[in-house]
Amino acid sequence: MLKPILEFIRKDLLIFASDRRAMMISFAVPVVIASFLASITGGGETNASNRALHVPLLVVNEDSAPVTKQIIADLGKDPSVKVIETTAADAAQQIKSGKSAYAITFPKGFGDAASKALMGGSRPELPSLSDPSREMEIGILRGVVIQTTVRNLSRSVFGASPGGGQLPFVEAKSSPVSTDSQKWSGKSHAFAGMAVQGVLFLSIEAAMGLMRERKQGIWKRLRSSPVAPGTLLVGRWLSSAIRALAILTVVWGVGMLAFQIRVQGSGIGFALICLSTALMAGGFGLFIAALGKTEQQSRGLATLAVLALSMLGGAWFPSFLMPEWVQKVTLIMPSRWAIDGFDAMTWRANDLAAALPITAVLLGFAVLFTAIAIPRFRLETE
Amino acid sequence: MPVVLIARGLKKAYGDHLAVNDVSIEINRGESFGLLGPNGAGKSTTISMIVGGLAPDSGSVTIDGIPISQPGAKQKIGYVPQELALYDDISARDNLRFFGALYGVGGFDDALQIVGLTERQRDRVGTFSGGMKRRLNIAVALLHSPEIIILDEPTVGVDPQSRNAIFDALETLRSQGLTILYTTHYMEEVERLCSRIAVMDHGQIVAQGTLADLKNAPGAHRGVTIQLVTASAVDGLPPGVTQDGATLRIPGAPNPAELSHVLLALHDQHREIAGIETESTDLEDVFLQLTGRALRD
Repeated sequence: MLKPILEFIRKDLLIFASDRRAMMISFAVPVVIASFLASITGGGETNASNRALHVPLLVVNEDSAPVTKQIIADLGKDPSVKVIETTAADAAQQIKSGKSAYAITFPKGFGDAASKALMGGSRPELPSLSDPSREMEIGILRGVVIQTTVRNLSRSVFGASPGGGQLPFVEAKSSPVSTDSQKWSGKSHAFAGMAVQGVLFLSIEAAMGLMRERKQGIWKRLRSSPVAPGTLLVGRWLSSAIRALAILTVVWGVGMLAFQIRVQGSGIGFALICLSTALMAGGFGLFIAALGKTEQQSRGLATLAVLALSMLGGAWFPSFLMPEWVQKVTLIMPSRWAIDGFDAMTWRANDLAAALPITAVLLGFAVLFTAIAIPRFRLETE
Repeated sequence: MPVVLIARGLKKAYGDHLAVNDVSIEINRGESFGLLGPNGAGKSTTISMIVGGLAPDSGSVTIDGIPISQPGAKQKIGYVPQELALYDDISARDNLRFFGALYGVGGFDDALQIVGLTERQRDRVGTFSGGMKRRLNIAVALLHSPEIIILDEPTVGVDPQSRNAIFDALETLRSQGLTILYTTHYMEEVERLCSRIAVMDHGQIVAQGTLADLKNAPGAHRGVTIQLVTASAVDGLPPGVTQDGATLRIPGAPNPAELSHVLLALHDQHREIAGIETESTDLEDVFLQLTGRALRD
């Protein structure tokens, strides 16, 4: 079984390499677009997200003071934010993984201490956790938190809104990840997006190749051989995955050499994301070929699908800039997981543990696509 | 002679169209069997079922007693599809290496030699002429030394030289004892290569036998023509014998009793005979008689 699969891979790689110009285009297109996007983001290493309404605000409340409860209740009424009460550990995890931008903790005794501070007592700390890559969200949330907190404290002490002056608490800002490493990088994201878009477009070419072979009678010949059709399709899947891996290698290679993009997280995790993305792309190619009837039809629909997967998956602009419901819906897209995975291993500087679930999901997509494709693939040509 | 290939009751329908209807074929070891039929007769569909590329709606195929669905049967078959089922972008050598691997074989020098492509083995197939591609298409089927080679119209669109080269190769293989199943609509190819023939039309086998069997089949003969010196009517001709001016025509195979009857009548009426001709029958006549003269598109 292994020999035919290996020969299938070898043959496909030879065909891929036979048209040097087409091969170079496969490599060059994502590199050129990613370079362009990386260039126009300039030194955009601290650009931030921008969502005006219902920005998630994680709140950890360890205080039992009525004023603190009132602060949280008022925060919930603010149209700019969406309060999510949680634990300190969960808040840290959510920010570390990029799911949320900002968390505030009301420590035990905060309400009473801050109220006394308005009368000249010592100021308590108001700890916050944030994702430094998302300055704009942080700016919105921090503003709302300070305003709401001070307003409620003043009301409870003076029965009126504050007139100004020193804050009755000290902000204790921190981040669950190093601010040096987790710095939003437009360049990294551009390469992540275009790498994924590149391999998805390669999937279309692989699918078209399969459909052409069917039309040419090659699959008739293959079907007359003693090798099982499933083996032939697995061979095709792996050969597509290897080509996708080559594209990922070239795109990221250029990104690292020309744009100084670095894998700031786990190197193994980055390799796993590459591998699982390539396998997913190989499966996606089979999926297109299995569902398509004619090459022309399938090319048009598949191009549309890849553009949608790229755009909604965050290849063109980061998914955290999209509305929240879009962010949720796009979790069904492999492109979103792949791009988030690359983001996590590059500028987010996440560790291997963060890469593993993403790898698992991408492998799941790979298996799902292939499992759907193999029984549906029309091997017969009559 | 042991039977290598048995196809029994093959049927295949596409919607309402019955493409193949109850086709049965047996081919003996070392035999060259021709499957002849006009375009759309169902030859390629039959072949696809025989090689295991298409599942029949009903019927069975065995090779040396092994059902075609099993790898052991497919290993015994060398299949040459009607299409040029090759990869244009890689060399002939790489094509052979790839297809050979599917059968677990690594060598391909003999196959290249048989089809005369040894010198061009490292060239990209895309640079080959149509005839060379046809020959390579055959070489792929020979890689694993099959027991039977099944060729589906392998000479479509090739020049006479390439066709001749292909036939030389096939005749060599036949002389070496390879069993051949050959489909075509070219009569001369079947006459040159095949010892037994089946004529197929509208999804069915309408005649089967040796070339001599088919030529001698009832209705396959054109008849005997007697040319008279004068055109006046001849009386007392047997039923079926027609007169057109000075020409009498006795249809079908020469029948001594019937011929004697006509000659006696001519003698009695003192009619002078200018000449007698037996209209010879070739496979094309047989084919047209069996499948009709209507155009097939």
